[in-house]
Amino acid sequence: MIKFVVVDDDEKEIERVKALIHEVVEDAKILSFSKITNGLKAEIQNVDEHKIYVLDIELANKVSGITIAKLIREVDWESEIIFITNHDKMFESTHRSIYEVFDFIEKFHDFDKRFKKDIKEILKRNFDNKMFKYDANNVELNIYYRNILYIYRDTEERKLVIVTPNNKYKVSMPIKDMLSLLDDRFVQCHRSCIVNKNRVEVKNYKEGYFILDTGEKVYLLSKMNRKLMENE
Amino acid sequence: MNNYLVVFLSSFLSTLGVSYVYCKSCDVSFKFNIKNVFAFIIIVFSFSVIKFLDYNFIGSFAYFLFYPFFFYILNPMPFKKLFFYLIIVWFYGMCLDLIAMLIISFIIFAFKLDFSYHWLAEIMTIFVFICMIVIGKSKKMKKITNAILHILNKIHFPDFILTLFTLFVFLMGYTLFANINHLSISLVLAFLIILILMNFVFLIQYKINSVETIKFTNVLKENNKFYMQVDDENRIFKHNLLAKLLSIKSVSNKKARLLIDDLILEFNSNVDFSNHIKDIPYGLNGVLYQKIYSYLNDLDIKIDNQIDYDIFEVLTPRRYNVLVEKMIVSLDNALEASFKSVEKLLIVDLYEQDHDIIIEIKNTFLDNINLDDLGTLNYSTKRTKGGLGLFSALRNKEVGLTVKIVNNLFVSKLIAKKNK
Repeated sequence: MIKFVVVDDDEKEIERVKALIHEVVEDAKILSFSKITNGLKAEIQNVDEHKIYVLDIELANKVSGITIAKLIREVDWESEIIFITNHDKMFESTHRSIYEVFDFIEKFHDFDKRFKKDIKEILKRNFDNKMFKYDANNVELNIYYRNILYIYRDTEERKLVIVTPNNKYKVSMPIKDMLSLLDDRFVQCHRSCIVNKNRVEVKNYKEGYFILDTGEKVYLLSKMNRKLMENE
Repeated sequence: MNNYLVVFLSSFLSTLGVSYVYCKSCDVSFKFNIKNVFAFIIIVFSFSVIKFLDYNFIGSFAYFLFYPFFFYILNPMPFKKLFFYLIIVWFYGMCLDLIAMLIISFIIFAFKLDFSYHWLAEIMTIFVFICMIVIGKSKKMKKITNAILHILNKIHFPDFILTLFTLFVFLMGYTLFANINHLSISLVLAFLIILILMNFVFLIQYKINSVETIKFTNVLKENNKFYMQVDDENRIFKHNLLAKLLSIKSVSNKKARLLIDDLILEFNSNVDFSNHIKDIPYGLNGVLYQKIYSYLNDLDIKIDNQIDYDIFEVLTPRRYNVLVEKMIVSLDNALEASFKSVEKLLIVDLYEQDHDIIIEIKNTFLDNINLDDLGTLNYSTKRTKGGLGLFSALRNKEVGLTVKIVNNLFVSKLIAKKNK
């Protein structure tokens, strides 16, 4: 059963959101709060189950929806957050990146249609928010598995390089150990490369490369690992 | 003569042991120059004379009388730190003396051996010397010494002076009680005068430092006031300009309106303060504004402040200074990294949590990061000779700093404990 947590200071709005959720998920478990309470804090701290938070940004209380999102992301990066807002688009883009917000929906603009579409999308995605964690000496790395494109061994520095769409992270770890930390979507496609199968669009075993959904072409595909790669 | 030579040798061994532990604890090597060797010989000679002539009442103080000067000659350092080293090495010596006494007493008792008092003392000295060398060589003991030193360093200066005085009064009381017949009152008075003079000098020094901090804070406040004025003028200018643009828009054609809309968006989009900058704790707001000023048009900056009182009420000036220092390092890194990134986002959150003041700086970045080397000396993602900022910020524990990467965000969290 999927759990929803709705935070809004307007009772009517909560009822409206509840009705929309039930339209999409009949047996949904819905908790509602009008402001930050100990109950809501306890719910945030309970990270054992994945939830969908529906947060109104402007709450009558001093604590806004943004602050609640901040509290959620302190402990939980796997649950989804949907903001209900009437703010402008710049405000949206900032917080979308910071708190990994699934969507910002404007209250008075096609709300019902967009909200239901978002819920369906989240269900389809099945909370694909698992995180890869690595503790280095002075820094802690947390990246969504879905954001990792591939991992290869840098022969010069003898380190593994985790490649994401924007950044690269070097870690000291054998490739086998790295593979054990990842989930099924990752396969070893070359003796010095692990790839996220879900991000690969083209595989060319003959010429030994794959092309990712970002358009990057990587020449680290081995025929020997074909079975692993094709085993869906 | 022979007896004196034995006493001299035992003093030589104990001084060597103490010096060895001291040098190893504070990572200095004993330099064989005239000054050090001369100081060493003077110490050995003084101790041997005190021992030989049986001046027990001086013997109790001799360590604290002579070693501070000797330690300072070997490795000059602030008085407070020197005093702590003195206490630690003394503590090791006392413990070893006690252990040696117990072991030797046990052996004598068990095997019914007959030794004179002088020979026992020499055996004990040799035993303690060997143990001192072992302690000096032990890495574990060095770690323990550093940990004790770290704890002792947290003691504030006035508390330290008070402790020193109390310790002195206690020792003096005890000595007077135990050796009233042998102790010269002028000697006690001389000690007292020296200590009072020392305390006076150190308190004056402390006061001068406090005055400097107050001056620094006043300069900060003045700068702050200036930034507030600049910000106010800037806001008035922006407000008037927007009003004029809107009035022009009302009489413009479609294409001109689009252009004006774009201009308005540009004016409003970049910086977003949750409340006015002057409501952010002073000092911090000045630094924040100064740092972000040159990036106002390039980055999306969001500053969220939940602290609505004077930050000096809850932080000591020293902690405040370290907090600002670390915030500057983190902000500099964040601004530079964010500027290079695609999204160009920078978020600064100021809030309190339980007993802490927290400043959280989040920024997007576009980089190649060596995670194991980040925060180590000379490692910099900028590929210049930098890398000192984060390294030193992570080392100073007055204000905690944790660094995290969450997806495409670099998160630096500064945690300053509030005063009790």
